[in-house]
Amino acid sequence: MVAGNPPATVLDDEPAGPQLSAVPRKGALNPTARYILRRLGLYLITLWGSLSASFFFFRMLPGDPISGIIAQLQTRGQYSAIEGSQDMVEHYRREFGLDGSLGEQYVRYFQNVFTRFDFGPSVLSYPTASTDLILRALPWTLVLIGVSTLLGWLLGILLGTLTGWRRRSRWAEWVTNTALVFSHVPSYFVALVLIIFLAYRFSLLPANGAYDASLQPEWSLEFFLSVIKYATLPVLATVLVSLSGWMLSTRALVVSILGEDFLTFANAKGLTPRRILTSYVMRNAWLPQIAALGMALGSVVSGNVLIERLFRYPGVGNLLVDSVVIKDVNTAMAVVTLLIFMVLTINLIIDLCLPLIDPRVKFTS
Amino acid sequence: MTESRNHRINRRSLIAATGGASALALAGIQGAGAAPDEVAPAAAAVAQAANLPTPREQTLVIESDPTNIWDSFNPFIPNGEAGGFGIATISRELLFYTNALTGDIKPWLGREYAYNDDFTQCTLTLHPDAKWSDGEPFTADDVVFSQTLLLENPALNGAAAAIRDIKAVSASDAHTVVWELTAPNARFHYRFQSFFGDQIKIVPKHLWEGQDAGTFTFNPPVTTGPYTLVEASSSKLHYLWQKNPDYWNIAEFNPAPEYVLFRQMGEVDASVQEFLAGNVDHSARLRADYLNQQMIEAQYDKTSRFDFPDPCPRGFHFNVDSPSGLFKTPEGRWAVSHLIDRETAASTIWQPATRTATYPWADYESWKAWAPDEVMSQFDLTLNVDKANELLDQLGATERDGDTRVLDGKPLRLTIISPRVTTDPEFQIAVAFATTAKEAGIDVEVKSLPGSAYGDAFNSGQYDIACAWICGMQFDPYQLYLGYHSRNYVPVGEAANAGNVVRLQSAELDDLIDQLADVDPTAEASRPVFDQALEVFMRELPSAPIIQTPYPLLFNTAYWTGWPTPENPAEMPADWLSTFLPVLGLLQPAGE
Repeated sequence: MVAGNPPATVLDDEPAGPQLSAVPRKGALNPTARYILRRLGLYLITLWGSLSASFFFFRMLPGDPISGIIAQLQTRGQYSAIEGSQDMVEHYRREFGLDGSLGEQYVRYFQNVFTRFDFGPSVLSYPTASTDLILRALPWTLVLIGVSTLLGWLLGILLGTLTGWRRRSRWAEWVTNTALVFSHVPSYFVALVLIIFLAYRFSLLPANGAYDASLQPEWSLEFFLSVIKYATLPVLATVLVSLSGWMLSTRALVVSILGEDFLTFANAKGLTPRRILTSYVMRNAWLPQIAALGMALGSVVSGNVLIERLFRYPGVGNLLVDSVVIKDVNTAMAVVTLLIFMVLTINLIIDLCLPLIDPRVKFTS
Repeated sequence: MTESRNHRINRRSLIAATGGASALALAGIQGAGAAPDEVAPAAAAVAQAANLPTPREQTLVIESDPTNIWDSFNPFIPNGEAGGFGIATISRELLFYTNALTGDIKPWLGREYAYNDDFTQCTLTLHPDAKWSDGEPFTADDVVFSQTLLLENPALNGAAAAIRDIKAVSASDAHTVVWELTAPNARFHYRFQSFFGDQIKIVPKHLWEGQDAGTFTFNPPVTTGPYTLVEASSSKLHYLWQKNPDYWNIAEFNPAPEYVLFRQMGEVDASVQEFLAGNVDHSARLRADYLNQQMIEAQYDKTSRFDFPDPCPRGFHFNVDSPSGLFKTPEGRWAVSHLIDRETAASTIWQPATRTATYPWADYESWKAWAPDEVMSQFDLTLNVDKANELLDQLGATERDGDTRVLDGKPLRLTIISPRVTTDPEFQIAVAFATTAKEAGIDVEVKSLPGSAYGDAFNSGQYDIACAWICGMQFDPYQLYLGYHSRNYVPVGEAANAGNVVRLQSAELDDLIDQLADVDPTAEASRPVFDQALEVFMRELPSAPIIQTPYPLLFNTAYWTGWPTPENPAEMPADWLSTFLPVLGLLQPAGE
């Protein structure tokens, strides 16, 4: 148990009632197993509810996606049959799963998604499947946004802990104030300034693409180093902003912990400042940040369209925006489904793992 | 120092930190917009590598609109190919290249065509030397096969027009194609010469035969053009094309760039920096972005600009069945037309400054004859608020609800939709109109609906006015008028996918369109019908032209010179048109 802590947080607490027997009934699940099962059940219900909500949201958007496609083709000059386009309209309505009643579409959608992981063909790149489009872009998003999120989190909580711990020092004030500024600046703007200076003024880092265009994607050191080199600037732009947020929130947590009685007690026991920082302050301050990281990691899969566009990076953010703009229902729903799945699943994992990292948290019957 | 004081943010250090960050940012922004005499920073930018897979001096680099299509080259399905990334602009050739700016038509894969006496049969002769990039001969069989694909698959893009117009198609010999038409049609050859949209698309029979044309990705593509695909990469976001040394027409047309790289554009700021660094030769992101072009020209002297006159004037489309009820009569439409300040739109809103538009097509020399003065002089397209007020009074909108007129018991409120974002001139034209309309007692709300939202609203009639482009004319005005025929009328709420988006029902115009369908547009005898149709169109005014629309196209001369000029515009040199290929024939290495 963490020294001097408040009472344990109890998950899945059942209503108080007469204890019939202290001995578990034969065949009854232990509290942990029961909690896990209930949590899994809740997870599945939330997943189903969220997916249903997103299905109806996209289906009930005003306008007809097929008309939108035809209007778009007309604008691009790729479609000009002034008359008799009904065959085309009906064909693509079937192809994109937009025929039949809303109920029929709903059943068909869930059947396809859960039995074949098939979201249907994309409008953006017909006949390529929506899932293929996502699988192409997802690794790049995980590289860029995933690494940025983890780096921003790690550096943010380290700096936040240090600036909170050393809050009286001048450097901590400077770092805090600089973080305050950066936390309110959009990452797009930071990226732009970095591009102008680091890429074009001083030619230190590339700002265009995900890797050297003369290379082919392969498992080689050269390609790996190229990916790191090209990701440096966009990661830096994202990390500078995100670490400020993490830093400030961690600092606030640390500062609030510093006033707790158990720290006074630890001091009185004669523990070294280093021991107090690592065993008492950091453990208490970081726990909420771990849960918050879970949420942030879940959102990674939706990408960051502004950073991706600015650096010509092939991520999911671009895909999501493009699919919404041209009302590619299948692709947009596939991305949103992935996002829902990731956020819920990571939260589930954190909920299940929390007792392992925070001994105050217990499953009780 | 007390504990509580340490918890506060020190104001001085906060200001200093803010100031430092702002100075850094401003320095960066200033660098982006340096004055001409401070060119050194921009020159330093050249050191930033272009991230190209090929030598820069051998590569033409074009930034194109974002795409998600990387593995399909099927021209018969929606989003089946990324046309702007080379397949439609430098790789797939046309039968004829039309230069609407000059009226010239250049035979290419096709040599000549002819009709029978009653225009029910059309015969096309192909170039006998043409070959596909895989070495197979390009023959009449390929044309017949491609046309038959459309006739047999009604869901393919372009099939509806083919089924409507073609009874049978056959090859009389290896290089001659004969079409039997469903009705006399003196315009059938337009599909050989079109520069936008409905040109005939020919695919190699030896690769397509036995494939499902609705899903075949045709990857890698085999075309007749001078460039073949090296790679289309979804992670590099580019299409790389290389010159085909065995190109069938290399003796006549041998473009200088060894490679052409079409890459997906970034945000505008990134595109500006790339242009300044000499890494991009032409960018769709900077197309028509006159302010950024001026900024580039101010600090970078290796540019060439061509103001491409777009075939489509900008104007208002009036929804005849609009909720306001104002546009159910021509008087209502004309009242609004009198409230449009075309002069301001042309001189101030559209940049570079342009000319006002009076007829619904571009004022190309070769097209001017379709709008004779004796017809157009009958119509006053100037700003005239008094005249507008007079017409609105005549319509019965005399009462007012506050400052707003009341028509049919409802305050006169109009919604203008625009497919452009709020900073674009099409949107700004609508905003300027809103101010003038207020003077006449009309409330106007302007909405920007980018993407498919505009198509939805426009096609289903959920608008009063659409401020956009007036397109359709390529060879004669019948093509434009066809989009206003009432046989394609559908009520508001239903998608007008077959045309007549403005929901016009004019028996007089219908009759003239039907007459025009049967005439030979090149025959002098048909001119009175065309003039009559224009007169009726202008009297009805379902769409009101506002301005002619020059698109400023900025080209980089650091590596390639010879870009289109007003004196030598090539064919239609816009990179989004399939007539872009001849531009490559103009280019020469700059020697850097």
